[in-house]
Amino acid sequence: MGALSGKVAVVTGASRGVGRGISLALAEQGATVYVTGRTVEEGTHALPGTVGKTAADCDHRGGKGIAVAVDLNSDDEIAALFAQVRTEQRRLDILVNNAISLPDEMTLPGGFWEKPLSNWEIFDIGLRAAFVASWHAAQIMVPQGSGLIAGLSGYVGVTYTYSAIFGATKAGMDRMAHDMAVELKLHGITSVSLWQGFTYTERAIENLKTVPGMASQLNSAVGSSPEFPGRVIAALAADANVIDRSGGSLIVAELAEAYGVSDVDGKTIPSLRETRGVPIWQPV
Amino acid sequence: MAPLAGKVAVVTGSSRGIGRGIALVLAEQGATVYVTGRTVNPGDYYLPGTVGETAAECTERGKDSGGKGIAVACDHAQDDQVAALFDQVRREQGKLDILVNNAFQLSDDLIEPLPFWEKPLSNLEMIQVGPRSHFVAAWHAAQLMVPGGKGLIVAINGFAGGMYTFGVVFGTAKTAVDRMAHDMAIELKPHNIASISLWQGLTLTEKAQHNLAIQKEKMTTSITNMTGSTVEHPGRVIAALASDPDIMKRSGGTFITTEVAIEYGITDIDGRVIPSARGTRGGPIWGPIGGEA
Repeated sequence: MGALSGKVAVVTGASRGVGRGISLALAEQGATVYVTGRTVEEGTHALPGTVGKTAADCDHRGGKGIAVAVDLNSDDEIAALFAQVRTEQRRLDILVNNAISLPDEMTLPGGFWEKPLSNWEIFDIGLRAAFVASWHAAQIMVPQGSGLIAGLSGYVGVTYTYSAIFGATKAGMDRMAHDMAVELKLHGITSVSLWQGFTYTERAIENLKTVPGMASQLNSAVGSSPEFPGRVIAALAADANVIDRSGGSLIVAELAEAYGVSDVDGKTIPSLRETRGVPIWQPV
Repeated sequence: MAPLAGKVAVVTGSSRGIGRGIALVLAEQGATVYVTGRTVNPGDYYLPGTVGETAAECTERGKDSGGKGIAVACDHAQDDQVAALFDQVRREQGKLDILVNNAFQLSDDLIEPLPFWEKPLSNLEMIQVGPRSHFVAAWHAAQLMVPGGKGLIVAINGFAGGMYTFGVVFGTAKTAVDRMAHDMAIELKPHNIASISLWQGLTLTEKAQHNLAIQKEKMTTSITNMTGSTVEHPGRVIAALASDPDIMKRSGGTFITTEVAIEYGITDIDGRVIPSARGTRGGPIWGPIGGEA
């Protein structure tokens, strides 16, 4: 039996990338994972992957995947997702707020005023929708008196990276996880922000080929697979004392070391605390 | 000549409150101030003040310095209205020197002691007219400032940027504002445009006086024990910042308004020095960008 057998998780933005990797790692430990995203059919997104494919792969890993098409721009679709979870499972143990919209212009040079105003989608999906999802998740978790809400963030939480909107989104994610922890602690629910470093997602592998200077900035030793953060979240969810970490912005590589978790190929991922920045918010 | 003679400013959310106080001081020091807000007619809102009244007061306060107020009805939740505002500034002035992003939608239930999941999702209005509206206004302002190679963008923010206060959405919005001011500064630096955030302490606005009168017990003593300033105190500080030739050295930083006031030797309108609440309410996170850019 897996460490997360009987647990129910929602992972946003899981058609591909980090969200897919997290879904697979949670399913591998026995969880039932609601795999959410916009891509239902191959070919409708520039990169491969659909919610159905990720859900099927979750089944193969030993847990269960349930694909749900959700556009996080729509508060109604987010509400419907959690209504479905409540109806089908009557519980929710883990919410992973992974989804973010990264418009193509984000990694291009130029000031915020030279890019379209619609780039605010970074914040709307990366932070606003995470709040809405957490609001619904709390309605289910509070009565059961347990749960884990994890938001994906990164060193961009403190260090300028690509775009003023990106920084505000991730600094906001860190702060939101902290203040939610203040209010959720009484109910036994943990809220953390996770600083995931460079990840070899489908998108990142494409960007490495096309974004000027990106490949030369990256020390290849520091990148992880998309499943690495999932392994860490699985360890957090299985930790009886996880609430002691609630409110903190936590570096995934450091948690991996604490829990004895390695990447899928056995590799240890280094913390970039010394060069890329130190989290602001500590456990409450 | 008045320190801000010939300068053009936009102050968002200035029908009343801190925005009105800032608009009055900038006009008094010679600026042409675009006074924006939703309230056009007296009685449209439960507190007094309209954009027209503030603009008229600006013109009165500017009668010796050449400053004046121009009222523009603008709901900062509506992108097309914000675009129209900056189009008007471009058409009428051809430039912009100062943007004060003051407007912030405080939810009616802000100080109710309930957790985030027990308050309505509509609390996200504090993001909409908050970091999002700050961004949209700054985006338009930068279009006007970049060609001229100068300008100042100020975000009015507060100690909630660093310390849990009233609720999750409020704190998240305030942290996002500080960080956005910092990261914008990095992108604006080559264009000699400064972006800063100010932590304004307790201010005796019409709304704050209303809340203190009827529901003081819902606020933490770290707020109610603060020495409140008048609404014009932050205006005096912004006027000094806008006249400071070394303003770029501050760009990217979050500053406690009264600490800047003390540096510049600025008092409140009644001559009082406003103490900093850093000791009880904490200090800012992001400093000037310095070598980062």
